[in-house]
Amino acid sequence: MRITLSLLCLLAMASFVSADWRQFRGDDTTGSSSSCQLPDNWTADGENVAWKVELPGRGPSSPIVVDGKVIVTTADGADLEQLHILCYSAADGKKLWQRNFWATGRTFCHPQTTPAAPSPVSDGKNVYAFFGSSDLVCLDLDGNLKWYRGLGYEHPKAGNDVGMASSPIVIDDTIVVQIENQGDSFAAGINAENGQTRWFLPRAEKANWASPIALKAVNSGDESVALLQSSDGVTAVSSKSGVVLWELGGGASTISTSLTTGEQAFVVSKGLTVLDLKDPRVKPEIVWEANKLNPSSMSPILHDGKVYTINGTGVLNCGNAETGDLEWGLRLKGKFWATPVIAGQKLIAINYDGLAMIVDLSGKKGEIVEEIEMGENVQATPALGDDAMYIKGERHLWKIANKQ
Amino acid sequence: MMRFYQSLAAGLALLLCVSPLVAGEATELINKINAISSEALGYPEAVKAVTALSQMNADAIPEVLAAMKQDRPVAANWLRGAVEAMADKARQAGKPIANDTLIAFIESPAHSPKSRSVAYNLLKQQDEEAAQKLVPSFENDASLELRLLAVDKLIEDAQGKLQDEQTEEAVATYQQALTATRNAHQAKVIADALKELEVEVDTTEHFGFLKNWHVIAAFEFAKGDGFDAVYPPEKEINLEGSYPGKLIDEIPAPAKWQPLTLGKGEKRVDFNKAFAPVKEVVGYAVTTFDSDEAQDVELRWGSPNATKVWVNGNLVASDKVYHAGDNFDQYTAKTKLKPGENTILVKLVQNEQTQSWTNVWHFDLRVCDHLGTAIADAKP
Repeated sequence: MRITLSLLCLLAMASFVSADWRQFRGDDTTGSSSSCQLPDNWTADGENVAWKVELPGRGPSSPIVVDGKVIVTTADGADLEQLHILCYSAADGKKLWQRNFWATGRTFCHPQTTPAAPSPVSDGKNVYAFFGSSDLVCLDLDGNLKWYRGLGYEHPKAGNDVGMASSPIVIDDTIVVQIENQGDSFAAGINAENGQTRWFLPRAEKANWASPIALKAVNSGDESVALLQSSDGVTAVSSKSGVVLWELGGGASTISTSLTTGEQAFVVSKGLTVLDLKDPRVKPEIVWEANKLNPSSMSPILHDGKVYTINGTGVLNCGNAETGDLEWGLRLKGKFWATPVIAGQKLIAINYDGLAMIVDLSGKKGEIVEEIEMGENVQATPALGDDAMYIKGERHLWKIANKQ
Repeated sequence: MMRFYQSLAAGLALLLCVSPLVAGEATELINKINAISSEALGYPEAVKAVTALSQMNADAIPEVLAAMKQDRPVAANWLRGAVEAMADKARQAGKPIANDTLIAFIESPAHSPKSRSVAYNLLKQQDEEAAQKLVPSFENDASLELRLLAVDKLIEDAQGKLQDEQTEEAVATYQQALTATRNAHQAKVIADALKELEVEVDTTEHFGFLKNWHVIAAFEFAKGDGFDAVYPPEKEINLEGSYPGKLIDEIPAPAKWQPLTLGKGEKRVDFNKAFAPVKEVVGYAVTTFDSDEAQDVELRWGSPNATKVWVNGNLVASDKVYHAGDNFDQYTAKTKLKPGENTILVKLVQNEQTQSWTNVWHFDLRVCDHLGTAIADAKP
């Protein structure tokens, strides 16, 4: 009887567990969710908008979804020195909390961006918000500050005046940040418990906007691996110690970010290069290279055996994830900063002008089936949740979902 | 029985965790946060302290605000996080900090600009009208965040006067706003509005950009090594001097100093205009700044090129950054001026990049106080 009750409790709890999207392109970095069902259409101000809120400040950072909470970062102020972390209820858009901090590092950037360009990340317990000023904040999910680290204050020349954008990752209680520019350039592993540095790795003094990715450990207890990407190539480091495990030259993108399935890494290098990660601690073999799948400024996404990229001329390319063969291309409209997402069989690509294009992937070739004007610039990659999508524009955050 | 005591202990522990502490207990916690160093030392203790502080009731807010130090910006952020959590909880509990307490805090010049700004935002969250009433008093505030609000209000007032066809009053209000602002965007808005009203404004003068220079070029970039290479202007300033330069058609050797004076509204010392649009070259600009007295100042400059800056022969800054932007007050260096004539030398290095946006070779520089208020050259 007791077992039955426990099972019932567990089932009841499970039914309330919401889908998380804890980092840029989701928990698994593929940018897709097969189970997420979105409405066929929506409008910026009404149809299938579950809620819409106005944001204080702006920034290209992507929203994340953790435990029914949508968390975003923005920046504003005379010199964009005011850093904001905002938390909204995924259910109704109610603002649950807002925390504000002063940037302690350089905040200069191109007018199109702000220091709120890196996306926040969560391990399910805390949110780690990183800013282009190299400020790193740890808050619990109720908005209580756990620690604050002014990496830009410690390294005053850390700063790319175009604007830094590399998003942090969290692996095994370590936050990995890449701060690469013409001044103080480094990657670091920060103890998630207290904000102290676990390791510090000097990096080439060259501008780099790409984010690190986490390569999963093979066996429980093995050290996890972070893959750092730069114009020199990729560098695999132990996430706990920062020890360099292997490097692969040949150059890589300084803007778009690679992804990994755990078994393979899709690295933005020479177009797209796939590495076989039998053991992420060991230098991998190259499975294939596909120059035609070059993702330009957006990052690649992976769905149902296909890899998708948008090139510099706005063509959405679909490649076979096993072979790298280009299967089809579809010209989209406008210029892009936001990486698309895939929900079910729909790819949603939103251009800088705020035109959302829904591409149906169910046929042999992708087809634009809807175009929706969001009415403001969009640079942030959307987040997916329980049959919902969160779009962060320059001034607003939307939840798009079928009306219940 | 054992289980009972265990439950009791757990209950008491939980009660202690959630019970608000009294304000007097904040000092020790604050000290732990203010003790963190720039090397992230003292963090485990500070993590515990900020957690405990965040649970305190609103009575402790003034003490935490008062502990925010301008010269400890990282610790100030820890304290801001705690204060905002405390204020949130107090509001939700229906016991917000009293308006009068916040207003007294904001109005006290003894408190740091950062802490007064946070206090203002707390007041605004709970009583926007009360906060708005304070805004005009921020016109000459040491907090640039608060001053920004007052200048915005003045601009709004001036616009209102214009709509009411009170042109003279509008001009006077715009000029009042210009005097108060330390912000480049606001100054531009005001200058543009005054220009529409046919009132001459020199924002270059307002911000204290230096206009009288001598420039010399071109020395060898030497595949980047020219940034560190010591060329004659770094050894001596002799405006009559002539030196072997880089052999390029556009700027025939030898390199000689030439005067460069900026007109009204100009701030940019443009080597491409003074010499020729060329790449992979090094140039220098020199000026003298007469100071009324020995004083601490800030040099603030911007450039898309790599720069070094010397004051009276002492290197005050070195930024080997190429084409990453060109911003107002992009770089800052604190320095001391001696009474009388001070020499300011700028090295300006143009690199080998070939993209169209890299065909720029210029800088601007101003002398000001820590708030960005222009300090005037005392030259007759």
